[in-house]
Amino acid sequence: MSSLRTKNLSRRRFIGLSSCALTTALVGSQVTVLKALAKSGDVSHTTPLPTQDVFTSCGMCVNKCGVIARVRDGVIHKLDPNPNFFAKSRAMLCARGNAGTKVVYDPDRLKYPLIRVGARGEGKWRRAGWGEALDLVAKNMNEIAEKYNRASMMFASTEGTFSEHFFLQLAECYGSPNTLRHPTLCLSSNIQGFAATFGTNPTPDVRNADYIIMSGANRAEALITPDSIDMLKGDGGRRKLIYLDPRFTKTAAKADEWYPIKPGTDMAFILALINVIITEGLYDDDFIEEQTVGFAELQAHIQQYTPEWAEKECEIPARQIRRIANEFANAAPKAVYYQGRRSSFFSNDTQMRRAMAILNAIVGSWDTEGGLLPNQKIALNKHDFLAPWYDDVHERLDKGGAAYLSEKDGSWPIFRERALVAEPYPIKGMMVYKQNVLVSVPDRAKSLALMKQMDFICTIDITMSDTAWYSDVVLPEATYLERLDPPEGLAGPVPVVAFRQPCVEAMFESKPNLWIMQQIAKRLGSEIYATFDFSMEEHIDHLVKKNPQILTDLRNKGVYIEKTEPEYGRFTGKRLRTRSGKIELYSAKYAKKGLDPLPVYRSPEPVPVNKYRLLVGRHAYFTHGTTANNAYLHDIMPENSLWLNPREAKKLGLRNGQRVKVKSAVGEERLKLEVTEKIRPDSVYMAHGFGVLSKGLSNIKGVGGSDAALIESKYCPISGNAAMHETFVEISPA
Amino acid sequence: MRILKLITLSLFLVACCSSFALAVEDGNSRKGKYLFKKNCKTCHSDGAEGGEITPLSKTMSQWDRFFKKSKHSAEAWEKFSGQDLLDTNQFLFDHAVDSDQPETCG
Repeated sequence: MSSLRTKNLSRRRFIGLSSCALTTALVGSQVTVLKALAKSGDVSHTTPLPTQDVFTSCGMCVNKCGVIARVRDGVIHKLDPNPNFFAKSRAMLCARGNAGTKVVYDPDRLKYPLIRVGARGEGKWRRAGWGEALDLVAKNMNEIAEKYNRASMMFASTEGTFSEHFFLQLAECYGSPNTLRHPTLCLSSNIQGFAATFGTNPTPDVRNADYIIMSGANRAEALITPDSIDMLKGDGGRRKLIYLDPRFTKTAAKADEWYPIKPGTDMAFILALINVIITEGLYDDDFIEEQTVGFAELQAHIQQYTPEWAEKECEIPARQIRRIANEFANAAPKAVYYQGRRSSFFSNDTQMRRAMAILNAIVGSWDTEGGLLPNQKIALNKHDFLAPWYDDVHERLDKGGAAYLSEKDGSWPIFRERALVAEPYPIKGMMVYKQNVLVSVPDRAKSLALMKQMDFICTIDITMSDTAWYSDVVLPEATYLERLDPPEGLAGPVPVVAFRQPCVEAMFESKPNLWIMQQIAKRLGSEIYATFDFSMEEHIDHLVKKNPQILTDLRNKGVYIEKTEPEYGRFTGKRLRTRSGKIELYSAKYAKKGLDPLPVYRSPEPVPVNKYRLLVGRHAYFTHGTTANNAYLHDIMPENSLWLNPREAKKLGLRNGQRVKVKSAVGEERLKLEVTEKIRPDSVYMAHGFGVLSKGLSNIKGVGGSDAALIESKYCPISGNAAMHETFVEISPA
Repeated sequence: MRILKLITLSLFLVACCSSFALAVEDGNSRKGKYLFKKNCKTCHSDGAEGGEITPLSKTMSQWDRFFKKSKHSAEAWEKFSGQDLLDTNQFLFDHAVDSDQPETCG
């Protein structure tokens, strides 16, 4: 909000901008109304458009915060936070949430189905009717199944829409195992590392923790509710936040201590903390005895990782590591090493997350107030369907590419490598739902090559993303404020159920995902369509069949909750989802697979002379590659820049604000230089979501640079998670 | 007739004993998912007579023991081929509560 103030974006201007945009967006429909009036001459029976407040869920990022849409005369006038949604979003709504109106009233949004008429990426389209576009999609899907194999059709999607289930259902019913979701561009090594230890990926009890160490998670800008809010509200100043980041972010500004750690060395710091806690006897003896396995092995293994050793790796003084270890252990169990969310940093990421998990475990920070909490989820009735069985369909293309791969998610870096050489079989068709492959997946040139080799690409989205721009058919989905979406249980220490109901009618010819899936299914054959033969209302009734109160509360309060506080000790005496049923400090299953059963530190590749390590990261204005074109958010941050330390800028003879060329082994981008002390001299940083290719994103076309064009395709061999901080770049004047 | 069926099934299980021991390696998990939904969910869904059963209802070793020791009633299983049972076993093993299949997001 402070940034809104500094930009003088007053409420009056905010609403003014909204109205202008609305005028633009609705002009087509008004012409139709005027024509109708001219025919009849009747102006006495006007129908007022609805004025109401509608409970729904935000769709601007992953959090799904509670929203009340203030609809006035059929127009979404304003979005307010839903106070009933306190358990998750603390009754707040961020800048992105507020800017949601501009998703609906966006002149750039997709309005009707489009079919490509020029070369791919040339931007020549013709408007098509839904029938023609859907026929073309089904025809190509059938042709690919006949000519190659059903597995030759890939389905890329991401979470957040509450409707992804239907897209994945279509993939399964069509018969392709190749669904490719977002986790390997985000948190799959986090899930893997923590689940290998605790049997699940828990959530830190930020609100009740007295001591938090945070690295790789810029929680004041990479917003996760309620953590981002809870983190900033220490209980009487008792809470201490230790923050490690090569950049001075807004989280650093809010922390008690900030250490500009050398990138890729977090594990050295964590292992040294474990070393101090074990050698000084600061661990929770009883907890370790009752709830863990492998402490003896850990004890022997950790001896080598002294604070003095770690200091040379991570550049944090040994005496500070000893002090922090002591403070952490003394505050335990109300102490957490916060694991963050995105974990696509280095190829050792799963083992680094294992180290984090082990540190939390040895001080007993598990299933207790202020510690790591196993998530809970409110059960909804499952929507099950029987997909047709097809013989001779290949296995997943990326099968066996990583030690542990999710069948539903796959691994983007591994999948693409194999698809580019058609090994073990070719991928020739691409269905995309919401995911923006060309912006999200490292090494854009490879993604473009992948798209080039496709016989057919269809993208379903709300704007002309880069991926849509390179597609053959583009289908417009209704936005999250126009859709009836099914209830979805949001897991966490205090679980909630959220859903979406339409605040206004879907504009132009946009349609909800379920309708689009049903129409494609119908064209693919009766056996597939039979699994889609239900309405959204019937689907929702089925989900809440066991507890209809869920729907009543969603309609009347915008949220369903069963409790307002976390429950502690739920797993006391219970078996965890690990092989031993206990917390596995030593992982026998990793040993069996030939992986390190305890985290072994390996130094990151040193930064070559005259090069810099490229870092990526979030900030509070944008969500990945999806919102940079939103007019309100664009107003706050119109372009990205390259952060460079003044010492290095001086060495290179570069000045603040000058355009520079950034070159990696796989790409070259040009953008503005920001000379700042907020970054280490060996690294550079640029915000995500700029340097786009699509001319359908009018605010950001030709503005800034694309990080995806520069990042090399590397990954963690255990989880398949992309490693986005292993790219080095050269900088020179543009 | 019932006795004959039981004998047939027992003989079949004995014959397949070695392959069941390798169930986790030889079955087609995707086919097993289809068969589990088609054959098992009719009785083992929520509210149905067999009570709800999902892959998460057992650990990997429990699923293997369940199939190896033929813990299901003979009538229900006799119509399935050895390969069908192997595929179903593979699916349930691969998605058991302590399986290698990671959690996901969304």
